[in-house]
Amino acid sequence: MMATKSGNKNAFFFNLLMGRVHIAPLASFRILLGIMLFFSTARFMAKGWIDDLYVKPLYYFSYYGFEWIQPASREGMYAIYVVMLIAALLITLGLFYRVAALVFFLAFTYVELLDKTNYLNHYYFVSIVSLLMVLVPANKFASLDVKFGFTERATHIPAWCINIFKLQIGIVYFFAGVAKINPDWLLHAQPLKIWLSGRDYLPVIGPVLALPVMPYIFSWVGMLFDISIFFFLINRKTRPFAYTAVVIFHMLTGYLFQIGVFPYVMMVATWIFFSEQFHLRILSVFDKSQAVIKNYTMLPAVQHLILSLLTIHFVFQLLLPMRYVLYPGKLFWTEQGYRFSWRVMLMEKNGYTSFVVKDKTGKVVEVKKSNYLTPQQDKMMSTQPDMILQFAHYVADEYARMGWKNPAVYVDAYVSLNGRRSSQFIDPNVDLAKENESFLPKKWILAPQ
Amino acid sequence: MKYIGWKLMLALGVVVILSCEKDPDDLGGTYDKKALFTNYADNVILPSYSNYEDKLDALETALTDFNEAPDTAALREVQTAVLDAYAAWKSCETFEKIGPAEGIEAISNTNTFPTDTNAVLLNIQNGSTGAAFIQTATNTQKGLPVLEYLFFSRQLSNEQILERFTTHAKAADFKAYATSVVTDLNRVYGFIKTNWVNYREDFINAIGTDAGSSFSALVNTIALQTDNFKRHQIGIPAGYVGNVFVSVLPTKTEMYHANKSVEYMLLTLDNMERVMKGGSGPGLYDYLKHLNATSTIGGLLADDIMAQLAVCRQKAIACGPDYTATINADKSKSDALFLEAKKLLVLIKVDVPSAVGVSISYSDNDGD
Repeated sequence: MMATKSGNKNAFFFNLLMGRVHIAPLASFRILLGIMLFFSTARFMAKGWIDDLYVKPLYYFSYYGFEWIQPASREGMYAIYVVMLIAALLITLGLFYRVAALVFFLAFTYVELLDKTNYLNHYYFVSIVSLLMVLVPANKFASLDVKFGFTERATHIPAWCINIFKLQIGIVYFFAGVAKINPDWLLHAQPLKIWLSGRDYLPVIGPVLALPVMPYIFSWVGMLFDISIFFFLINRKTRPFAYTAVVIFHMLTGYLFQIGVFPYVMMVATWIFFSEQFHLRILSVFDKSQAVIKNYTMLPAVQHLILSLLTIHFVFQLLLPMRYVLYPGKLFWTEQGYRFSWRVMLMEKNGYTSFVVKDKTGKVVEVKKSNYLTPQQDKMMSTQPDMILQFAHYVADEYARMGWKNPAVYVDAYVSLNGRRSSQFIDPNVDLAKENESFLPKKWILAPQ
Repeated sequence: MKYIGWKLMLALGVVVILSCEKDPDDLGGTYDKKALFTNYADNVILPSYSNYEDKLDALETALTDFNEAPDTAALREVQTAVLDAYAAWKSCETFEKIGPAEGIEAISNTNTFPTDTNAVLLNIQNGSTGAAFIQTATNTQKGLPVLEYLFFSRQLSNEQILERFTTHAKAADFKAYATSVVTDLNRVYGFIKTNWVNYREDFINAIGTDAGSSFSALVNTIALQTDNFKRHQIGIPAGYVGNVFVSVLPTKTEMYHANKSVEYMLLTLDNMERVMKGGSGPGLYDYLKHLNATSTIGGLLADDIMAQLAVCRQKAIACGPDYTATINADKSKSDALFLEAKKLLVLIKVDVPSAVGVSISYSDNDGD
């Protein structure tokens, strides 16, 4: 049993990937995740957001390189959401599981790619998790696929099938924590000072929240929580406390701030950290023959391919949040390299924009933004340079269509960030119609005064 | 574990003490927001509306008397009543985004200027003068600016104005048009009055900072007022399209015919100050001061806004007494006013919502 140190290390990593572990945590995760996706999809529909976000707008802020992704008709969009509902239900039931997971991933990701306005980190998280779900045999236990004989029951699976979710969740929390290590968050307790001051009317906790020290406590505890929670969740001894902390933390932030289903997403996701005994006890309702052990084996070539793809995925996951270092200027101000980096609740940012179109014949007009954008789109655009550029191009095209000769578009924009006084945001003398979107730094973003 | 915990607590304590030391006049504590909105409803908004109601009644009476016996004395009565009602309306305009007013597009219906004088004259010529017609007419053919046009003139003397209602072939239609405009003003105000009865409770109790909250409404409404001030009262006549100078349009001012454009700018600034301060009770100004102690990183926003209002007042006075004449004679004065009005707009539209943490758009969302 005595192994060398490096041998130990290798064995440790081997076990993390290939060690035989019980499927129960994955099956239980599948059930809960499906329920959560079902309810959040239903909630989205019930709130009328399909119409608000994907039917009413005349223009959609596409992601760079994904301009070909456009919304379907109203009926089409509703159909897509119904498909998502059904897929979420099938995921929970473990019926036609792989297809259901793939369909959910595709439908959800399609919708998220339609408009940057609606970008949320937890939507991005749901996209990733549903993609990872496609790769794992979560229907081999406590599922209708097993019950109906569509797939063989299995009790033990390679450890990577579960560990990829833990790693993904760990990355989310860790980067969310690292992102909080900045002067605004830690030294000025911003934006929490602003947000908590707006909640001082709440019964019982209101007066507590109003204590000057509270934003600092929230900021520091939040940062430490995000950075460390993964390590406390993987440790068996600390896990019950860690999960309690997860529940308290997310319930509290959910109560205080307008963050929709996000707290539930994280409470469900971290569920997977619990031990197989814990999950087995829960799943004994569905699978009474727990004692019968059956190993799940994959074709080595398939497994190899999946693991290679996962390696690429996780390398990207580690690099994407760091890409901002390649850009000049302050990240929160320019937002170059901001999205897809688990930067959650870091900014109170407000903007004002006024677009003017000119052409060579001397025609000048101020763009009536409300003719083209919803209030939410306008608000999100006013603080994000890439969206300002997109809208400028859209406006230029619209006026060219109306017969204007080579319309030039200028924007007068001001932004305030985290309680600082406002400052001019975009160079008002640059014709944005002549600037193109790319991954290169946007030189027309002005530095804050 | 325990040791690390203590270390963390200690670090936290140090940070907290250090940061408290940085803000010696830290007030903290809760702010009675219900009292703030109660003050706005009962001491600022509703009295402004009821004052407008009184002035509309007086206008209606003066107009009835005038229509029965149009002479110069009665004309002067009507002129005074129009000015009083218009001024009273200016102090209501600031509440467009608060509750019922937006539902009936109160500003568009009541004060769209400049009036389309040709269209108004054509309507009168055609006998399109009924209240039903006015109700559905284009906004540039209705509202207080029409009355201002009908009863005031830069070119005509009072005697000549009087001829419209006496010896003119369409005198009866001139009278009818003015009467129907007042009827329509009453219709719009009636909607606001009726709906405020129930809305008051909602307004006082929506003390959050989400999209449907009263803070959101209050900040949005002051932002809109500032935008109208900068754009319509100052910018368009001074030649600005958006924030870009194109060419002056000096007659497109508010109150052009009565030649009171600058006076009405000052009136708007007074109203903005009153709404910022919440009259003599607790208002946004106090709340910003309360927040300033803890939230904003640089400068006292509340005082800066008051200072900027004062600067705008100075620059407006410099454009007096006749804004139209000033634009024609010395454009640098209207440019200077526009520049300061724009600064005021940015403060109110960007810095205030940021400080209050209020959602300035009107849609709900999932957040994260």
